[in-house]
Amino acid sequence: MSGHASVRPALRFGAAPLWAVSSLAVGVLVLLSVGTGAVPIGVSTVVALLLEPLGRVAEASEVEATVLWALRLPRVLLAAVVGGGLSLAGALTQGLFRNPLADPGLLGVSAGASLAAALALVLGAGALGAWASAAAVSAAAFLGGLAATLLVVAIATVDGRPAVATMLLGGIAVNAMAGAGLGLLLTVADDAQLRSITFWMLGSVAGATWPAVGVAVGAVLLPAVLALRWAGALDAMLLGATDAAMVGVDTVQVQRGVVAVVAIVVGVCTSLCGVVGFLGLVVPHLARLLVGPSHRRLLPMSLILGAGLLTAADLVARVVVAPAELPVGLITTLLGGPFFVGLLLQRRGRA
Amino acid sequence: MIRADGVRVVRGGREVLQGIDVEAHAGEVLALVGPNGAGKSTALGVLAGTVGLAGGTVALQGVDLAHWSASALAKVRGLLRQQHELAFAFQVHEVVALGRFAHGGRADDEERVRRALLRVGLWGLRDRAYDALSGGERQRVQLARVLCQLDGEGPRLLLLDEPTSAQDLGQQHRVLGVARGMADAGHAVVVVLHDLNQAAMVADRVQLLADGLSLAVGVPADVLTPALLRRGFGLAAQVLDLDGRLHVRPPSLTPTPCLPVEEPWT
Repeated sequence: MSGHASVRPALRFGAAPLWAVSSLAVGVLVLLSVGTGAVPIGVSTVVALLLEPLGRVAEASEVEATVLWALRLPRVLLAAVVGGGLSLAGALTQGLFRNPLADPGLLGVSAGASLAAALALVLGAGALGAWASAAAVSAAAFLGGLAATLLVVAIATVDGRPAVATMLLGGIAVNAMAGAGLGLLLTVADDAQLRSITFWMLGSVAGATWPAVGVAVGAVLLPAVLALRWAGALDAMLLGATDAAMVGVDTVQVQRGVVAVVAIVVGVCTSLCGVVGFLGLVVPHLARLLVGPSHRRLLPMSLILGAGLLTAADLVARVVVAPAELPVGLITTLLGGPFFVGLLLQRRGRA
Repeated sequence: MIRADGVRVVRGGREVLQGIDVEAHAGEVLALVGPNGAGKSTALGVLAGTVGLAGGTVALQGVDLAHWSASALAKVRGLLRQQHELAFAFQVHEVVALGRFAHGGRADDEERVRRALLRVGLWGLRDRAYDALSGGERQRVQLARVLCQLDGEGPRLLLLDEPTSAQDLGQQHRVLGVARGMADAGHAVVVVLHDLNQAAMVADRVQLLADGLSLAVGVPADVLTPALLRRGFGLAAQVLDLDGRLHVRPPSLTPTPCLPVEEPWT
């Protein structure tokens, strides 16, 4: 028997090494991904180029430098930030619904964003210049996602407090309505628009730009830091709303805050990359396996693992059918779908 | 410590509490007893501040409950409910530590978690997964969480809703001992109990509720009388005094026919 110092092991798997290894793995994945593509760049050259702004002289060709700074790096960083953001939002949603099978999509964000993006494309956003087109579609998607979430919350709010079970049902209804609207748009879209909509809905980080990375960092990392404040409250809320209130949690404030953070994070991620499926559902499970269910560790670990997984998925998407590439959302859903079925089967076995 | 005056509660159009007074002082155990549907758990919820009132007032330490902030309240009063929902596989010590939420992270929290688990006899299971425990063990983990919440200086209000319902004979004794120990340490304890012998053993005062009304309140010998038990439970029970301890003895069983031809109780 160990002494009572072991009451709260800092981590289930020896503290520091796990965090160090997982963070390091993400770093290595980023370096690998940045170096891989039509113009391969060696890892040492990548490191040298990255350190160049700090005054180091890199021995790299002009082409390598351009590819790295203008194409690869923004793309890989966007994948990492969006992956982390979607996974964090997934962990928050599962905590909010007190259900490990919940997904940010339940709040209607992705469906609303898809509908609005499709609407923008059908109304002719694709005919604008590349830059204006991307900006218009992103803005529409963000607003659509936010509107859908507000609708779900409005449906579920009774006497000023959100009823979580009703929120689930409201989310299903809003998802269905957005799906129907999307179907309507698909029937009136011309071939080019159809192609844009389909590609957008499969999710991709191919269109990454530095401004997009900037938006993603601001809209994902800031809310993520905010959400960490609620980690203790989210833990207590797993006891149920009544017991959580008994130990002093302002459950209404936390629920509102969590919904707002999820709506903003998922809205921005979806508006920048389209629909990247299953990441928010699957990554928190992996994180829970590593660090347990406490949100103090679950939220940061979901952020790290999600960043790594979407970076890896994007790398796979670019490599498997090179020189062409697959939409990254296709990869995450292809891998995430069977994983989710596995989870269901495992739960069924336990029940 | 806590005082409810003329409390009325309406649920689904039915008046489940029809204007009752409940009062518990620091240093005593008050047991709420009565038949099913009497309003015992609702009365406990009223004292905890989880139930909306249709009338009456509740004051904790002389201050209306509505004027307490959630976190100030959480440091002074704790509630063990009958049902517990806990999603995800927390370890036992993590569940107990959730009780410290309102206190902010403090260095001695681990020691408080340890004390609480020792008191309910579950220190040995501290690293187990909560969802792998038996119903009785879970109930005591939740009790430890509430004890951990109330650990600190000053009188506290401990509200227990059927804390022995899932416990074996030995653990019933332990749980009642925890309630008694809290009162002896200067805290107020209000406990809902079905077992009148347990009520007689642990309580300084007993309050008998029926149909949302208070039939009697006072020391166990004044409340646990054959006449009041007949009024409250519709049963002709004897009350024995065994070596200074009250013992309620129900009458011998009357078998209920499996296929009643007419209502057997009329």
